[in-house]
Amino acid sequence: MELIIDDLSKKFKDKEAVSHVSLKLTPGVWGLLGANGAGKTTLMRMLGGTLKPTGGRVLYDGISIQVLGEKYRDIFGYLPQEFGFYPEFTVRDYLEYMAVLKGLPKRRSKEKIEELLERMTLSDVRKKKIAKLSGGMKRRVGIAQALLNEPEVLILDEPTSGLDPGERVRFRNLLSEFASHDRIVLISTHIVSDVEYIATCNAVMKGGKIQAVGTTEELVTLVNGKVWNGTIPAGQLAEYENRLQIVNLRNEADGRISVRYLAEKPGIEDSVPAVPRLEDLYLWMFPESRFDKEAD
Amino acid sequence: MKKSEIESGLRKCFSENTVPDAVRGGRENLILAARQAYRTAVREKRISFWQFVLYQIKFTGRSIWGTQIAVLAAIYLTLYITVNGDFAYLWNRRLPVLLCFSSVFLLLPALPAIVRSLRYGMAELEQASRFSSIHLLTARLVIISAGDILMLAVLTAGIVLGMGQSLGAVVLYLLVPFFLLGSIYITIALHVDVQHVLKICLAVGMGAALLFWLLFQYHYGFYEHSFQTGWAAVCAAAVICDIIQLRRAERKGAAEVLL
Repeated sequence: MELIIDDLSKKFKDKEAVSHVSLKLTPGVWGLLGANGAGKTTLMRMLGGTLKPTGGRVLYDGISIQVLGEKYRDIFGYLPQEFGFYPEFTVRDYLEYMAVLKGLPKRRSKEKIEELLERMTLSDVRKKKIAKLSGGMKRRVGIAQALLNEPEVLILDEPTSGLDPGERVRFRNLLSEFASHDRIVLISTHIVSDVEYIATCNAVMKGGKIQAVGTTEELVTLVNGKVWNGTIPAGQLAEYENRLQIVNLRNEADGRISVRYLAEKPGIEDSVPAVPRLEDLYLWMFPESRFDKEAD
Repeated sequence: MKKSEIESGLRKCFSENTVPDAVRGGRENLILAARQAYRTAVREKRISFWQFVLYQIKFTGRSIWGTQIAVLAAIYLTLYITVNGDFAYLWNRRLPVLLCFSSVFLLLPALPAIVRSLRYGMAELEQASRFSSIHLLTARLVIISAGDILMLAVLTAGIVLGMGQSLGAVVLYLLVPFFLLGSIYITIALHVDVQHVLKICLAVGMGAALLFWLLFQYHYGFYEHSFQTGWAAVCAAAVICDIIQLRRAERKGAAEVLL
């Protein structure tokens, strides 16, 4: 089973949101990393068939998803970045509605809904109106609907936004387990920790193009020798922040600050090389997203 | 898929597996084949389009039919208050134009249902599911039409049997504008940016009502006809046009049609 993205492009008026992207997705969890505006959502919409590409094609097992149509949508699960619900719907109504749209027979949908309510810890709120749920719970309902038809291709756009740390861990475990049954799971995110430990492979997207593809271990080698640990006097933090790309800092007991920073060469005296992580690569490629990270 | 078919599918996988299952690769191939056979079997158990329509009654039918009944009641009440309960006043000269107005207003409840998905941010999810937006729109149109047909039948029976008016005139001034306007609404829904559909359809509806009033005031001859075979052909053409448009949109994949 494979999902091939072949020279896919999407142009909106004069802006090319996705530009000649080619990628071969095989079973496993795939992380699609990129800052806001990198083109992730546009790419995902094209993979879901809800947006027509201006160039290129998407093939599922060698056949265009446009040709497959209903057959492709049948094995497809999708959670858009922003999704709505009809105001009169309870959690159960919503899942029933989505199960009908996915064509599940009544008995099967009943079983599957019960199972997902349990797994997503939504059983207690099944009769509650979705409008009255918290952001995290709404997200969990969204994830549950994406899993209703046990999709072979599951595409989740920023699935963890609004989830608390515990929910994120549960979600990661759920996806890992789900993907282990020969399924393709693609998660778009700008929160690196969502995919760092569960992704079989990652693709980094910037300016509508795929900049790098590989396992977490392969990708972090791109920033080998560019991640440093050093200490600076607390009073000079602002000065160093202007000069260096600081990714992390910690106040020490002696009034100094330990910093982890990205640079071609050490920028602080007595700096030592640090073991790079996927987040370092991300911040190296998207220096502007340091502010997003701080906001997160 | 029957159980026996799954079994024969699995046997086929087993016989076609060239790698012996004594080694890990061979076992994995078999497990994969078995899983695929199971998934294919499960996937084949999907509901038909007409079952899908029946399920939609639960989710949207009640609100659509409720609105349609409310509109019908509002038309009746407006007329009752206007003529102070004396419906005989409406007979003959005013009846055709009132029928035309009724056909315009009976279609109004259909409009929010057409743009409901976009209004509540459900369009993208619906489009990405097996019964995409076009099937959903078709299901909603079937539900709307069922309600409309019932209301038209009630109105026609009430006017013809209750008021003794000519069936030809009632059918002409109630059904023909209804089918034509309905067809225009569907064309707008499928070809215009969905954000503007409601506004444009409302404008067309109000424009039609204004036109009927102007014809009543300045060109009364328009209301002196009766239903003939040619008009039946016009209604049939409108319905066929709707079906062709919906089928074409479905074949097109409907991507972006309703998003």
